[in-house]
Amino acid sequence: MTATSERQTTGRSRGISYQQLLDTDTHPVPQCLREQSAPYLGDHDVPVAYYTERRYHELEKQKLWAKVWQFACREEHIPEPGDTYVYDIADRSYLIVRDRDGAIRAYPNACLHRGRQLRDGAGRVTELRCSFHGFCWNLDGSLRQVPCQWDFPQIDQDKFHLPEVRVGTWAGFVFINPDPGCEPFEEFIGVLPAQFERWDLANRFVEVHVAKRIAANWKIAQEAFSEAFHVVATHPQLLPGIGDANSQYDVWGNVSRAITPNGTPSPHISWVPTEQEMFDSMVDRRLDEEPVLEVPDGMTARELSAKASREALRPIVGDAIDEFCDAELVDSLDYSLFPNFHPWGAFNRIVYRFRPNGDDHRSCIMECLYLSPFSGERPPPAEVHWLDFEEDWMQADELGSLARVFDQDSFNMPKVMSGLLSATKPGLTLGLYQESKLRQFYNQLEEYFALREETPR
Amino acid sequence: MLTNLIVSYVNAGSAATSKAATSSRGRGFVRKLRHPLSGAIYEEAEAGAVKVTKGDLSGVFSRNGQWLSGDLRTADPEMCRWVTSGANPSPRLRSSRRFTAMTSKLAERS
Repeated sequence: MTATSERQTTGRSRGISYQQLLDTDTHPVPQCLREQSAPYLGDHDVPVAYYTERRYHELEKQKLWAKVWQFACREEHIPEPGDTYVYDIADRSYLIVRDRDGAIRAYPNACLHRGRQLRDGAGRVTELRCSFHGFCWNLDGSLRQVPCQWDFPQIDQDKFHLPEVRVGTWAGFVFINPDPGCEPFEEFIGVLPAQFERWDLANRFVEVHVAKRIAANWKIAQEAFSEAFHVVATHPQLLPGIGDANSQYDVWGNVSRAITPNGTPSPHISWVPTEQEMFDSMVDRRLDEEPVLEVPDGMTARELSAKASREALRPIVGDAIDEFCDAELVDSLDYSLFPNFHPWGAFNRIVYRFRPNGDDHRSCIMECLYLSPFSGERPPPAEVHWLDFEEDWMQADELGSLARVFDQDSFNMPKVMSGLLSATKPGLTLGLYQESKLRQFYNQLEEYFALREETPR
Repeated sequence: MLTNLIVSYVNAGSAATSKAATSSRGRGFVRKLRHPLSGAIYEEAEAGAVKVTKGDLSGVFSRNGQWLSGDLRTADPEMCRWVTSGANPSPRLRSSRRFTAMTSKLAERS
């Protein structure tokens, strides 16, 4: 590391730092928010070809998606024995199954006879029967029936077991890894369980699930949600009430984090907003309407916002909500697990996933799930609401005001794709701190590209 | 008192009776915002267009920020999209994932 890079890596925006803001919290701040990890990750350009060239999509299929732990579904999608869920990634399809003993199993979604997909979608079954010729397996993958068995004397029943894909679970999320020689799931997810210890995502349910096809490489869409640097240009209306450039970024192995404070002004604006103006910005008050709530004298926008959030959650969470600090109720706690899984902390409720749109490297699927707390019996998970390329996020009104924010983000994505296809500069130049989540991603991706091919199978 | 006011907003929807609850939301509401950086006023005009006023100049722009008419020739496209992105749901706090634990749809179901 050079002296120059050291200076650049430790550079931060003017304005109150996130840790300084935590010092003003009205409640005790948990240790997970006090931790900081911002190592120097390099400053080389990221090749444009990663987004534009087919060969890198093929490389991702071969060396990333075939070898990495990846979020497939929630346990609540397969609560009972016989429940199945189909997870597709690029040109591959996997079948997730709840076995009779409650274990979760995963198989390549392909019949061992002529290869037809065993299941076309989710549903509850007692067996895994191919709808082409009727070859059939038990939920545990053992062979159950071969139609016209007299014609298949070569089939050894014990060797005609569905090949298993490795499964890991955390916080109600089901992950798979197609590589039988992969690293243990617990090692892969690293600090994630410790970071989320206070936020019990297992006891949340999928209240909203929206998936949209976007005309851009999946990494372009993902990166639009990997930093707060873009807020100044893409979401200017937020600036009076968001400390965009005062966000904190952390990296731990496969896990990264961006914490963006709300109820504090952006250092980009040249005027000093009042607490009321900050709160108004947070709730999108227009110039021609009365305040949604008036910030009392002596109270800050953060305190009022946290109080409103506590009262909203109290009927569900109970008085335990008082144990959560203002920051947990107000700020954007965006965690990422390489390569494409983004659960937000505390009660932000958001989970993002980004993946290629089938085998097309120039389009992708962005998903947003809301994981909500509940009381009493667990409600069933929401069905996926699909939005096609030309359909607007705002058609998913279950997303509330977030749909309008996504509309601004999505305005950029196809234009980034087009721009990169036209670019003569061969690489993207990233900020050393604010874009450290992107840098961490590419460092990991390049490790998969270069090194993981030797993984023993 | 403040807690009651908040609770009325996040849980009781239109039953809130505060001054804030009787605001100008509703018919005749103009979607108008000041750009935090430039100070220009953005307001929704007819047919999904946006009128932008900065000092003595004003112009009309498409939802994507393309100039349509007027003396002012440039506008922030993302701000244009924001002010034309549909009505603010009411009650406001319930439209935010931060201020409600469940959507009204689920609350009704339960």
